[in-house]
Amino acid sequence: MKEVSVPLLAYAHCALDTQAWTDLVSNITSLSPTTIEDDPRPWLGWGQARAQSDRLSVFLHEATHHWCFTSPVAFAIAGLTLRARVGIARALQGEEHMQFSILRDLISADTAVALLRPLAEGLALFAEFDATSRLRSKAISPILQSIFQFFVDLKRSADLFRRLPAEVAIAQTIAEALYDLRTNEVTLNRKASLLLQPFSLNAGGYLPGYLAVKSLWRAACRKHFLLANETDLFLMYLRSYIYDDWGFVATLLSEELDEIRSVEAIVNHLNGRIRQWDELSDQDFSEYENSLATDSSSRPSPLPGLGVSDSAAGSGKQRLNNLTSELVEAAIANDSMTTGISAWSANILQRRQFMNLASVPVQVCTNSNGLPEVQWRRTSMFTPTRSDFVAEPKDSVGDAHLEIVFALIQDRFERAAVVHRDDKVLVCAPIGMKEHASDTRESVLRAFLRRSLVVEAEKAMRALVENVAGKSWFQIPMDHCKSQIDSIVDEFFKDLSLRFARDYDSIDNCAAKMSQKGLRPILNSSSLIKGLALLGLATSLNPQRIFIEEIFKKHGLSLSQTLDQLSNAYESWGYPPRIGYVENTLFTTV
Amino acid sequence: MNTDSHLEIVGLTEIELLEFEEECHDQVIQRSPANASRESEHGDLGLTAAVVILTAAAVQGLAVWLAKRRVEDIKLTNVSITKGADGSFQMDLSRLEHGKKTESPDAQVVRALRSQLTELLQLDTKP
Repeated sequence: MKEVSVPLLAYAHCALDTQAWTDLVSNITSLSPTTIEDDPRPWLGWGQARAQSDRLSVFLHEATHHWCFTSPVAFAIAGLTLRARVGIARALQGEEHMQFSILRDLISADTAVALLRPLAEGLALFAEFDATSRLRSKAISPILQSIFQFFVDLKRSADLFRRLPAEVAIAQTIAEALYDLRTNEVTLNRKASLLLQPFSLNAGGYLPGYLAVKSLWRAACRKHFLLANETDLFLMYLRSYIYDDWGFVATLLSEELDEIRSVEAIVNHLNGRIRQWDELSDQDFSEYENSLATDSSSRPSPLPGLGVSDSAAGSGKQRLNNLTSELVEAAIANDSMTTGISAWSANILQRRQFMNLASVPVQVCTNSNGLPEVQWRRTSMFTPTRSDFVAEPKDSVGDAHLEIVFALIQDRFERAAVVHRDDKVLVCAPIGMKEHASDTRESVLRAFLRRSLVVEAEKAMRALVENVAGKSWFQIPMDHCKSQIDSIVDEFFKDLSLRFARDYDSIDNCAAKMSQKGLRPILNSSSLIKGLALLGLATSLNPQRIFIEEIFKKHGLSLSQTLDQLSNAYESWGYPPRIGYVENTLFTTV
Repeated sequence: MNTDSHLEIVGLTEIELLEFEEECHDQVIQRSPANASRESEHGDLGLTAAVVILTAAAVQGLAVWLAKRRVEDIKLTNVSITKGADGSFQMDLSRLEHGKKTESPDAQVVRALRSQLTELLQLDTKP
């Protein structure tokens, strides 16, 4: 098939617009329209979003991004971007000395985003296709816990809760939801499509990122064998190892002004962390897991077992505090443009913890009982209580907008339906336990920014930065650094992602072969690609051969034929890595 | 057969595109360029699009491909076909149900789909 762009396809990106996304700076998320065609109702109740499995896939993917970006490292990257914008405002008002720090901040943030993007995608895909908790798990990630909020039919699970202790019943219902997800055709299609993505960072880094995360998982299993089954614990550990790394924060926010040295330090830090991965011990993973089992308010920071020294952590915390203070202080400076941008930056940092589940136009009406209710497409959605009203009920009647926001704060999920008219909040209705309603309302209202404003303002801010950078001398060093970073990141992920290939020649050959069409040149047929995808999905649920054979049968595929063909591919190419056999169980790195 | 006509199929996943190619054998299929995310946006896996020159073999391949997805009547499913100003066609499959597949579709269904496609895509099948 030819890889060409033809005029007819000039508008074809419209199909790609259906993608969900998460923005690292604002941490704003878009789940629609791919998920529920803007119908907000499933997000208001418990377990009501379960009807379509692609909705769960998209949710797991974007919620994992959001979770990763609610972290010290992502906060620092967002802070660098926001500080560069404030610097641009000051430079435009005559403070020309700001240009060097703007350049350094922009390049540092770009480098970190480029380096972390494949890992961010890899973690999100691992959450979709691999992460599973076990009954004996000491902790469950907020991602899998949130499945219980939205995607578990409590009526169907009622019997389980009667028979079993609550933690076991919760784990069991999550496992059932994951079984439904990972054994259906849509998910198989999705994972097979991932394996056909280019092995290149220019295409979003999905395949290199996923394979990198799987390689790290396989390496971790050698140290702590329980991780072979405790994939959710691995997901939590790797997310913490990368995004809760206060040493990385210290490096990102270093006072080094030379942009080249800053880039080197960032690349070297991540390189060092990946090398350090092989030195982790069984004890590191156990300490980390035990710390998660404690109450969140008494957990140390950084968490134990992550290989972050106290001095690096102290330095990172200090620098992040300084950066936040700098932005807050600039927000009250006596200069309209700088103040405006700084105030916006401070607001963005405050709202980052909230994930947007839905955002739709609604009407606030008075129902037949004379009570105000919120309607969507002329059907009643909910009736706010008196304490839910932020504005006077009579002033709330009319067209408005609904946003449903969600966050994990401490050990508790907070969810609320916020009805607003432009920037004025009319109603804030917490969803969940009544005893937490007041706290939830308070934290939501403190940080709430309407979604459309965030999206539009962020676009405008980025356009301003691009415009100013494009006209200034620092576009040249920025372009130079970007081209260098791209080749560094490509090389970095080639070795990490294909680490378990047969030898170095196989790594080089397969990276080149897979650069355009992923595993297609190696596996050749759609049935083998689906077979490999299904092998990973099925083993994530249960690695026993008899179970996997059943799942293959369900999809009209042959397990033994798939294993034979994969073995042939390994003989020819040295990749994908050999399937591991331990007694009657299988182990796959893809 | 009007060999100048093109059909663009949008809303395909990568694996669907490969399966479509496998049904079309030697037909030339062109694809859209890969999507690129904005700097700080982390997007979901995207969909892709393919362009195929409208030939009898391509329509046969498409009919088999749809029949394997248990589509029995295009007009009754979430498949839309629109004609552009330049005479080319666009088929949107992004709303097609991804239900259970069959590897051996009914030959009658394939014939019926081929006939519908021929009509909808205004193919001239005269010798």
